[in-house]
Amino acid sequence: MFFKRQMPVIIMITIGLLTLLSNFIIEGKSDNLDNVTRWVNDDSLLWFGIIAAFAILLGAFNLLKIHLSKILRNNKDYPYSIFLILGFCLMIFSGFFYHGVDRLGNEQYDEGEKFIDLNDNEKWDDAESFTDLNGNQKYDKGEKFKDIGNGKWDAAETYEDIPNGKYDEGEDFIDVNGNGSYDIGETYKDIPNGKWDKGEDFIDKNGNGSYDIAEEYTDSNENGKWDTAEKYTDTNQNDKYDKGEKFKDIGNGKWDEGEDFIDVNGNGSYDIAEEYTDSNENGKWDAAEIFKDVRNRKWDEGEDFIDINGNGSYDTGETYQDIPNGKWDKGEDFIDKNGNGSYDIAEEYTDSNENGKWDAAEKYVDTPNGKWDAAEKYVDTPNGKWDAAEIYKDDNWGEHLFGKDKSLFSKLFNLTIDPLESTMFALLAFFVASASYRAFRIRNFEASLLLVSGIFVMIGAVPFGSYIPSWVFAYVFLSLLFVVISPFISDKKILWTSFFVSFIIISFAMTIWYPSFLNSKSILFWILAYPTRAGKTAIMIGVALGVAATSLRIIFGKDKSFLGD
Amino acid sequence: MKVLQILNNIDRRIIYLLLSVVVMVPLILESKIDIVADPYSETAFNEIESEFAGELNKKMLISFDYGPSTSTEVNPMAIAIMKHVLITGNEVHTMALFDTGLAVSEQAVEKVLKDPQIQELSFEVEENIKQLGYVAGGEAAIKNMLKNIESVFPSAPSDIKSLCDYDFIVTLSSGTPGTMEWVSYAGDPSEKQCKDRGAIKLTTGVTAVQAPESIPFVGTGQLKGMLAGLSGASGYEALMEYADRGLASEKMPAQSWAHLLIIFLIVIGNITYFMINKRDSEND
Repeated sequence: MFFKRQMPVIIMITIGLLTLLSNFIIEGKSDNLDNVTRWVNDDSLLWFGIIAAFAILLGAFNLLKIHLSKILRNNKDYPYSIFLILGFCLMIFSGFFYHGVDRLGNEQYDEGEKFIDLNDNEKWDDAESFTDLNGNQKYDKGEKFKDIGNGKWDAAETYEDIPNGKYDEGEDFIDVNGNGSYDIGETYKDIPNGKWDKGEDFIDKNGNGSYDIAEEYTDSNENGKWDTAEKYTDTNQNDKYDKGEKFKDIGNGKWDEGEDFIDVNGNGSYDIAEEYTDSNENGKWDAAEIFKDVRNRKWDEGEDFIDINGNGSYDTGETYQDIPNGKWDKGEDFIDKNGNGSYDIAEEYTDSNENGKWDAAEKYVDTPNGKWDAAEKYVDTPNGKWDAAEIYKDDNWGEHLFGKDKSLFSKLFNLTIDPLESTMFALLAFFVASASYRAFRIRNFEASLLLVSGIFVMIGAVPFGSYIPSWVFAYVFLSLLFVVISPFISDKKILWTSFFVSFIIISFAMTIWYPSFLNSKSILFWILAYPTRAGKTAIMIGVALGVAATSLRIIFGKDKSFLGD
Repeated sequence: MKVLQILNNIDRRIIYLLLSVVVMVPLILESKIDIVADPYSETAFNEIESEFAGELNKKMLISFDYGPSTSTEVNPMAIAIMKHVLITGNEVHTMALFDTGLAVSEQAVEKVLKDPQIQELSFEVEENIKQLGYVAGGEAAIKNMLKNIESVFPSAPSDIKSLCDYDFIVTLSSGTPGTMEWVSYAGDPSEKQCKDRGAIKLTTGVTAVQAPESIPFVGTGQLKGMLAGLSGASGYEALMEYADRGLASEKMPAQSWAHLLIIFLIVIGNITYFMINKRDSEND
């Protein structure tokens, strides 16, 4: 009896008093008092959370008890209870046991467990079997792999790693700017690929002027690819100019690809800003106009470099000196003067992030079109994205309750609870319609007031209301005014005369000053902002005082309703 | 006279039938209607716009304090607000004080991710959505979150220590705990609790019947605007300039016709009531 009656009262009074008094404690005056405040604000709140969670459990057991007893006693409508218990068990099963647990407890992915599908192929890839032939633990683009169904290589699919003389996605590289992906200029490990690359010499067997698979070629400078300024022999005799052939300047005042030039830096190719002969004497040079130059941290045509393989041109990976290049590079900020969303020559720009390119997933400041455009400002953060193998995440308990995959629990929710609850709530609209029709009758002043304001609110809450012109509301308000004063005017003749005179005056007045403020929205929001707010505030103050009074009654043991009395 | 009696007491089944027709026909015909945002939606929109547009690394917390019963009315608000913030490149974190709120939040997130406007974005939007989960305890949970969010949601991102780390909180509410609890235990105390940054900006989206309860807080500035019912949600969609295909906007014609029908029935009922009363008094 003590634990059922006196104990709860003692707990309630003690905790109630502590909570009440903690509001009067000034912080920093006393350590002991601060501890009381801390207990009330921190510890007791956590207890509250535990109790709230426990209450849910208690409610579940109570529900089971009530309905099981109904079934056992064959009470009226007991089949509903059977249905309820079955539903309860199904939700418990789908929520706690069927999905969402590392069932084998082995802390690794097992079939059926949830995973993060980073490449959106709707399957987990790390579980696919593979043989790492080159031992770099990664797939490289172009390498053979065993596609297990989605038409593209997924991390860990079987592949054959073969050298190709240029950087391929997935090859090891030194990530200089830390953006998580290879940028031109970064050192990488080049590996021959055993296939023809654009520019390499070849024997044009069928005489079509281009390399066809299976034609023989010779990689003359052994750099794995053909470079623009290299000497070549027109072995295929296709009778057309190829890059590097001698040419005659046709007189447009600038070097065109193929024309003779003075190779200032000896790199074998023409660089912008190098001296030129203005052969057509038009007094202007186009490519080297005055500009504000910035460093862009990548090699640009014309910059000095160490020609490692001696082929006379810069190859990705060679060391170079990044100098202002006098032109806009992709990724550099610029002032979009003509507002066309892209950089145009002569627009000002600043190389803010210095990595020369924008990476997907990096944040950016969108300038009007809702997506990132080259050269829009962005915050260059390590993109943290993973390129090769997908990260598998072993399910945390309960994660199946929300997430992309459709677990049994979420299916039960979406297919039963959601439509059932929505239907029950939707039925309310029908009852409201019927009840409004019957209840909103002009029986007395208060009912009339409720009816009129109710109609104004209903009109204002829907877009149709905005189609009603202001003059309609003016006449409605005039009519309402006479409805209100009519009981005070016994002579109906005077009443009707006054009404019609007022009607004419208002009609005339509206030709001079149209009351546009009288519209459905403004009337609705006047009702909400003034009478409703006033009424609601008064009710809230009343409730607050009631809560304070009831709390004091409970704290002082006067009210024991929480014991069920 | 018999007509008067019938019109004065129309059978409820006829009313149900009429209401079904006026609701279903506009939905089937997919009729459109011009939407004008109300001042409360406009305030909420402008506050969110000024907080997130052109900014980066800002975070909004949306609390789903409603269940499936009111999701038709409140989900469009969630979707519109989430879209608004995600398009700016900022983060949205979701949580629920209703047990079923967790699932409706999932539905909203799914719809947002499938939205064509979101799919057009060139960055991974999904990475900007974090789902904290459901917590029992209502007021106590909110109060704890204001001090230490990890004690309530252990899986909360490490850069979020308390509610003070959020730039904006939106409570989408259809009952208790809801708007009032967020104002009392997060919005108001945050002014003292979040010493460095001041009070957290708070707004709400509520069902139409709940709107009067939240009005006093909007008037005092404790809530930065409010989305009231489907009408408020459609207003927000109009401000987002996708009213032509918004979830709320497409339902507004049906709601408009339903309101007109109810008004018509009330007027008919009162006219017949008045006439019958007059006739009876004359007979007496």
